[in-house]
Amino acid sequence: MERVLGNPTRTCVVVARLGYEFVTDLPDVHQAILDHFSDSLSDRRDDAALTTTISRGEIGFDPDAGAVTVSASGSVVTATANDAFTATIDLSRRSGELVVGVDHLRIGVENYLRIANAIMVLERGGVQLHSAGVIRDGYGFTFFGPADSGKTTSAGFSVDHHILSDDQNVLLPVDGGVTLCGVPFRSVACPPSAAPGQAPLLRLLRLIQDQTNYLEPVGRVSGIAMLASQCSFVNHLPDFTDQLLANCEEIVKRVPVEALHFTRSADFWKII
Amino acid sequence: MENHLSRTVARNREAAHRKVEGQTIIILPRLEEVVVLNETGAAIWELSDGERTAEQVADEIARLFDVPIDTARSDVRDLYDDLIATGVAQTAT
Repeated sequence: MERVLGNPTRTCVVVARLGYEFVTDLPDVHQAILDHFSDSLSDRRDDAALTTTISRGEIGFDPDAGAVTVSASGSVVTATANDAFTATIDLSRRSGELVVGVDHLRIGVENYLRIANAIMVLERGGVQLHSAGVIRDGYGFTFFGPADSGKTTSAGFSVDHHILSDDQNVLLPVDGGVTLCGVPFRSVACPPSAAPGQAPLLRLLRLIQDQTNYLEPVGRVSGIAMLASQCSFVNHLPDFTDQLLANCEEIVKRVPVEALHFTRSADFWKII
Repeated sequence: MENHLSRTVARNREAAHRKVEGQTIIILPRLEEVVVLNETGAAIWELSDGERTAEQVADEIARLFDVPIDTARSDVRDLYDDLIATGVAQTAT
């Protein structure tokens, strides 16, 4: 494991109102964080939700290794992703240890943060949803569904509006409503104009590609199930699924899920 | 039919569930899908403790929902097939 002597640098990245402090004595790791999260940096460090020490190790990257693996035991969460990183998060101590692979600083740090944030927002009653998020006229619209349902497509047809992300967004119950918060986790195909932001959530839309554009109500129970199934990482951890279902129920109570049947054009905006 | 009625089925211990509007939502970690059960299905699932036989579960369902025992047996058989296929429950014996 590589170590560089000297004072460690501290960087704070804000994700959906939560501060994540990264501590490292490796200049290139520090720079990678500054570059990749340039639109989400903050000076606030005293109230960080999680402080993570980053080091670098000889971890090879295998693109065939499969998905991210996350497990939890008590308050300790461990994660690995395609051998790009290994990590431990101690929720009781609000601390983490991240070892990133030599050639995958950005992937390692981002995937770690995706997992950490998915867990941390649960404690605040929210969820991190596999979705596209867009703000139009001051209101938030969330388009969600499994892979290939059209999240990046819907973001691509929203370039006239404020795109938050085509991949992950956070929903937080606030003051009787739900706030849609953008997070710096996007696919490589996301429109480059995507940027952080937040807005009151107006529509929670399950994407269904179709021949015509129309909206269809979704019952509360189905809506909760649809949401929970698209909350990556935490819906795979037995320690968190009770809280996940409770949070999804509260969110759907405030903003019901609707099914958006849509064609591959921007016309869907006319009906929402 | 006899085999089906004598078997015992247990809920998957990893499955988290939440009852909403009479229906039950079940998340089984490591599954892509989330399962939703209606009231009868939820009752069958809750009774599936790995101790009761399918016949005992069907008896209880017939009593709780005031349905013919043959209907209850059929419901239990069909649901058990689905629950076991999805991993939400597993055969105990």
